[in-house]
Amino acid sequence: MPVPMPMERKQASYSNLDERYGIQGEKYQGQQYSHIYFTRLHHMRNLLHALVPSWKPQLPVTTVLGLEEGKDCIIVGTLYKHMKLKPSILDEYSKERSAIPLVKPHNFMHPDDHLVLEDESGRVTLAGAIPPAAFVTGVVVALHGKETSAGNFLVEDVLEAGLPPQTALSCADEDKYVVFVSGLSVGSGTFNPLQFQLLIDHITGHLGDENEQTIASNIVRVVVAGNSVHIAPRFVNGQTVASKDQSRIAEPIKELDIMLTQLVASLPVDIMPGCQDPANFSLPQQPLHRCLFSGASTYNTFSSCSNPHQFELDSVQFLGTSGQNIDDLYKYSDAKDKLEFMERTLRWRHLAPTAPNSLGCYPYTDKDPFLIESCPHAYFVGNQDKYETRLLEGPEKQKVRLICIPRFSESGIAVMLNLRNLECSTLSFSTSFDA
Amino acid sequence: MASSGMKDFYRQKKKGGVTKASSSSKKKTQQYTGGASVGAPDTAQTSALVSHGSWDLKDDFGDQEEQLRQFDMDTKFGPCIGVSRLQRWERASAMGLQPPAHLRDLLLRIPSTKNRSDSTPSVECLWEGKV
Repeated sequence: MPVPMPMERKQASYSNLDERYGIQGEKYQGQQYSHIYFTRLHHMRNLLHALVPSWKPQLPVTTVLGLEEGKDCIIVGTLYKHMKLKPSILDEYSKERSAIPLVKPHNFMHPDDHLVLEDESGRVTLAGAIPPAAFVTGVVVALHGKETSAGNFLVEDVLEAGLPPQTALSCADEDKYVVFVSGLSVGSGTFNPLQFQLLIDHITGHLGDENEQTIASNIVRVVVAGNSVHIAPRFVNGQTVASKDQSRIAEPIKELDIMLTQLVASLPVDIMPGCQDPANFSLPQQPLHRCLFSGASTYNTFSSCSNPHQFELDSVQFLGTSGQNIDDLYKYSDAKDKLEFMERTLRWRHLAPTAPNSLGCYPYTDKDPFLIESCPHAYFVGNQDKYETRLLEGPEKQKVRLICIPRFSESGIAVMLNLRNLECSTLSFSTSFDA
Repeated sequence: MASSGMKDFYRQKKKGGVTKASSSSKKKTQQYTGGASVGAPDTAQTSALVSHGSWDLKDDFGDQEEQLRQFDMDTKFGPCIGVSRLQRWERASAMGLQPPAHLRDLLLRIPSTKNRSDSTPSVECLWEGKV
């Protein structure tokens, strides 16, 4: 029997760019969210003002306060979407029986929704060529139009900031893969330990023939994009946990740690927190504490990262979240698929425009960390219903691979991205015989 | 049972000035030094109008405080509440909004809380503690 040649796993140079999502240096002094909107508007207005001369050079740029009836002009401001179905905490205290129509199962949209544009000087209701369904609160745009006699602003054209500039991709000549997995939900009823073990064994090269192992050896990194554990709701309802249950809460994390330890022993792993993980609720979610992973954290290949997570692998720029930003857009706006929501966030140059309005967010005073300053090459979103991917091409030759990562515990699918050509494929595992 | 627990939980604020509604009529007459009359019962307004136990009706701030208040109220430099005046100045400067340079010197010269007289300007914005 011939002795098989030893295979060596490929390496890729990695740099973590999560610094902007840290909140360690921040000090809460009772500030509210107005500062975020101010910094966002300031930053985006500078961008949009620079684009206006090439868009409509003949038109004057004014503010909401400076509008004159019937005069064509351009205004820049933050959109606010007035939604009658949007849940409000005040409804609970309303004395009158509400006559609000029922909410659709997934979405708070209603045909009466309308948009309002605001800047420091005032706000104006919008009408005309701006579909409320495609926008959400918090997006900054430039609008061409004129004020009507009713005091509304009749929009003729909309200018979004567009895809940010992108760094050139250096040509690589060998295949290197990054594996994305999300929604492991260890500890939930849908989690299948065998399925996850198969994924681990495949990635670490313990499965398949030589051909398959060669592919596995090209995997340079695994990214776990949120919701890795599922903690039973009865433990997180605010009640004191009985002492006999205290060890049970930690069980899913311990199990995850055992699994991750197998992975980090063989290749680098990034783990991001998600909305169900034991991390802070508001974005940016801070890295899961290393003490949760007593086994995996002993390896230097293990890195606990923030959500959103931004990094660079062999000059390929990655940006991704565990899904909260896109899920929130899905609640408050409409698109043909999740990839379109992702595309919009890139064109708006903002990762989570609905934060802080309907998405939890830290009250920054001097910056808005979710502004996208440079275009990533790969943009991923975790915990989605199904796998979707598309290559988005921008007007300045930007190329972005958009990836929706499905929940692994439900689909058994992990996503594999080739760094050489940004091609995307799935790794699918099934443990039932009839499939 | 619940109400007595509440009293312990929330610190009772009313130390000086107005204490109780029963005795307030007597005290009111003593405290009216200015001629201005306030329509609403004073319990609702104490924190805004009474500082250090006396009516805050005259402008007891200096020229520097006046300049800083004008800076607070300038919407160009963004919201003022929740950040200190110096932080707001630094933010405006970092954003390229060119806030008045002499205000920074002024803010840096404000003495620490210990040896302050009433006329020294505040490090916090106009609304701090009032809304």
